Amino acid sequence: MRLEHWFYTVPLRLRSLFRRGQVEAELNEELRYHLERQIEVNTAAGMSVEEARYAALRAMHGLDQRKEECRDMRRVRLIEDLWQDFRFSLRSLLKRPGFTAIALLALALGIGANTAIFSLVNAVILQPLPYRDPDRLISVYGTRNRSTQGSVGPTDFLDYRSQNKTFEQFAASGSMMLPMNLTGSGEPERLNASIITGNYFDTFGVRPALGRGFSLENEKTGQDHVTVLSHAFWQTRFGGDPNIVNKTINLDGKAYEVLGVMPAEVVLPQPAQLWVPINFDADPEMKMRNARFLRGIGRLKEGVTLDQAQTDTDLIAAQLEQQYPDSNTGWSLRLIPLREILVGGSRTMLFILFGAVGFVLLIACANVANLLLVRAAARQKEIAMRTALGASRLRIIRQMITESLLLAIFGGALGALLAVAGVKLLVSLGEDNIPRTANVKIDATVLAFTLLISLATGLLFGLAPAIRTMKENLVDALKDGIRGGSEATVKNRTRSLLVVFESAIAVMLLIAAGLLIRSLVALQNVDPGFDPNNVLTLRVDLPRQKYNTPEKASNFFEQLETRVAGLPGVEAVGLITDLPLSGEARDMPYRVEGRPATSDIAFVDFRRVNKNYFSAMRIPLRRGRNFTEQEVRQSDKAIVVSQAFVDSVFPNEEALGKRLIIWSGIRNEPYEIIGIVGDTRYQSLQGEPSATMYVPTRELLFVNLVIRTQGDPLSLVGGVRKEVNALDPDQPIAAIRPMTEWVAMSAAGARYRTTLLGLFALLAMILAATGIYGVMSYSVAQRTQEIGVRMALGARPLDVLKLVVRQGMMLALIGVIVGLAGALALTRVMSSLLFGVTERDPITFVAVAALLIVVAFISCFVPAHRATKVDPLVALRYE
Amino acid sequence: MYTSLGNRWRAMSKPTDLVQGTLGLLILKMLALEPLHGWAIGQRLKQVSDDTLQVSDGSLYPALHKLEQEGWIKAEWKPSENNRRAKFYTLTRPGRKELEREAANWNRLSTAISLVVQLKEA
Repeated sequence: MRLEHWFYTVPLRLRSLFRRGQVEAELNEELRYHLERQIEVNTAAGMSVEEARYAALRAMHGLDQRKEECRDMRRVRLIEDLWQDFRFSLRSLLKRPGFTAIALLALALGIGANTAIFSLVNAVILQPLPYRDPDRLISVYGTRNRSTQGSVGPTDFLDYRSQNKTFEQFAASGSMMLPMNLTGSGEPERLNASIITGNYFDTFGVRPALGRGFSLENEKTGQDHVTVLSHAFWQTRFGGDPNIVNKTINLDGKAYEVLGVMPAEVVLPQPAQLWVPINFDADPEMKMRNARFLRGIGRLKEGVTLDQAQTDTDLIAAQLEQQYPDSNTGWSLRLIPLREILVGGSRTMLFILFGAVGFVLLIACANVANLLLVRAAARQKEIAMRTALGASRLRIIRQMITESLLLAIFGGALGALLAVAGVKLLVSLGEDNIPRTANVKIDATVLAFTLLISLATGLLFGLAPAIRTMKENLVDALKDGIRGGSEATVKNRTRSLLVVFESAIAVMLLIAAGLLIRSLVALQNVDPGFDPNNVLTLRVDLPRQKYNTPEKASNFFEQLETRVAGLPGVEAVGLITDLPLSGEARDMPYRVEGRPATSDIAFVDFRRVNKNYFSAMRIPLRRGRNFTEQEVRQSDKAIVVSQAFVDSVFPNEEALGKRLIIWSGIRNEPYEIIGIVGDTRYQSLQGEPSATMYVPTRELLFVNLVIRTQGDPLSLVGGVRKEVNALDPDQPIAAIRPMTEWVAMSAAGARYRTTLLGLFALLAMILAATGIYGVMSYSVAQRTQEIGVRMALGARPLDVLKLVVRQGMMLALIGVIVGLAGALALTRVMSSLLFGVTERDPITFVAVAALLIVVAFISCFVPAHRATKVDPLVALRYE
Repeated sequence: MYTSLGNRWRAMSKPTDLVQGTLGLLILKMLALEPLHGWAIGQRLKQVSDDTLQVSDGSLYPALHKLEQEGWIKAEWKPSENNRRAKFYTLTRPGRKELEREAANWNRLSTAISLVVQLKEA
């Protein structure tokens, strides 16, 4: 029934829209036919031709009205009107290319910035994590006294896995990447492997694209020499060989069977080149509850809350504490939703950026609204004329809003183009600072957002002029033309408000940016406690199979140290387990010999080094002595500690000569403090340097070399590589970079957000300045006559200048004050991003206020200067 | 340019002497008998109702166009009885169903009203 109905109606509507001429002609012909028949009848009844025609027309009760009624029946009025408004608006925009270009530019910048930042927010925060039921995934950390996020011991993990009642799956991976050396076919290569439990992939709900994943069986000896490759590694190393499954590859000198290949789009929290299963029986370390190196991941059972799971694991922790007081006292699990771990840290920054671009868009809106108000004033007479000719207010307002929406949509389209370029920049700059950047793209969701804010902005800036038009007094407008005292005051109030508003928002953004800039400067001025210039760092990981005794490894590193030290341009060669600011660290439980054991075990940041580490890094020796070569070679029980350690552990005692009991892997042994060195910021540039303990040794499977050079550190890379290969042609080196890069990387996040927010604040300032300039220019143009009169009566150019500048500066000053107050209220949200400044840093507030006042002054001065050039004679004749 | 933006929401002329909506019913009924052009429909209406139903020529055409746009009737240009081109209207299949519905409605309404009107005063 409906369908058949449409069969008749749809062609009619289309015809009405697209064959309007023909439809009209037919209407005329139909009515003409009627009139002619009626005239015939009338003349036959004895009327004259003239009378007959008149009578026929009268019977129609107004021919044109009837035609109009027939047109209304076509049901396409709304579309016709819309089309008409659209064409009219387009014409009127094209007629004023200057206005249109400026408005479009402001809108494109505002909407473009919003689109770009929204695409980040969308990818990082709004999109669900790419795992099955991601909200049930929980990150599991080992914690002492519930304050840290550390690792879980393997045996503890097994107990938690078998005893918990709240997790559907409970898996783990090594907290650090396991370096594995690939040999056999082609160049030796150092790979980042992730060691995982057999149920790790299942917990996330991801599956290999090729072959199969691991099962719990793979955690056992004999089944554990298997691996799953990442898509990228499979492509680069094996050219995407489709028959790779069931082949074997050589890792650390052992044959591993390739079980499968992960799909390209699967990104696990720990991005590895390949995965190997954990064998819980592999070596004695696996049985030590004190060796904590696993990060857990759990999938909650359906309907279980985080709190219930926490209670559940706490119960198990309490039992373990009773059973194994030596290793487990104070230890429990800390459960944090995976989502919180992956995106939590960047949320504040993203929301601040989002807020910032929102403010930029508001300023752009204010600018365009102001331009439209100026235009509306210029078109007042035209609009009054149209109203007088019978156009309804509603119709005129609809046309004006159509024009605003058209502007906004074009601006939005340009903005989307800008955003495409902007997003590329955002991602390339922020790769390491924002999680999940691979997902950032301009997709349908983002474009829908762009359309939405375009329409919203169009309404926002289009409404003010439209409402003004509604209030317009028709008669006054026609009588008065565009000149006249009364309208000026009312409109100027709206425009003045816009200036105040723009200045206030610009001030708030500039203060936010200023605080971040001050933080960044403070961060870069932090003394890391070492001299990063002219230091090359690189990492060597020895395969355990080949270097199966401590002596072999120790020999290798001693020879390497000697060989590299002999290279021309090398001043000192240091060795250390974990580089400062590299994000890697480990700590060690200890107690002071002679002090009573307390239930709270003390931990200290722990690094193994050689004798030359301190001189290579230029870490000053404060007191005591450095290690001797003998002590390094024999891994003697001597320790050097940092000043912070002395300050916290021996505040009022002589630290040198004191002995600490350290758990060295097998038993507790006393170590003697022989030296005290300056503090080094190992974890981050922020915060106080942690207490650090150095132990001498070369009996390591991996080491970072820190090589102090005379010239460019990178020029040494080739020489070092040659020396490594001379010792072992199968041995790769990794993480080759100057120490300065590690320092820069640790400030990268701060630099990134400072750059972005600074850019947006600058944009806001420029938009605000053009806004103020626009308002003042218009105001001067409006007052040309008044200024002419004043000058004719003897006012000097300086007086005119003062008059105009004072008016503009009043507004800007009010804006600055409002902005300062707003900033006081708002900067609280960014306190977590600040370093070395308070959120109410007076220097920033004063500097920003001064900056905006100067900018506002320039924006006022230019039109004011123009006003002084007014020729009184011309101005008085000005109409 | 300005005229095109003129006001278009004028009150529509209603056939004053007809119950609202019945003009459509009458036209549909006329066309159910045979295809007719506008003038002929007007004439026919006057004849069959003995001038009781005064349908102005003015209100006839908007009503016809409304029915056409609803899809109840369709138009066709054909030579008329005086051999000039005229716009003839024909009932469509949906129009015939509409006529049945409207006629049934009308019967119910008129029966109900008759019943009320014929009530004897006590």
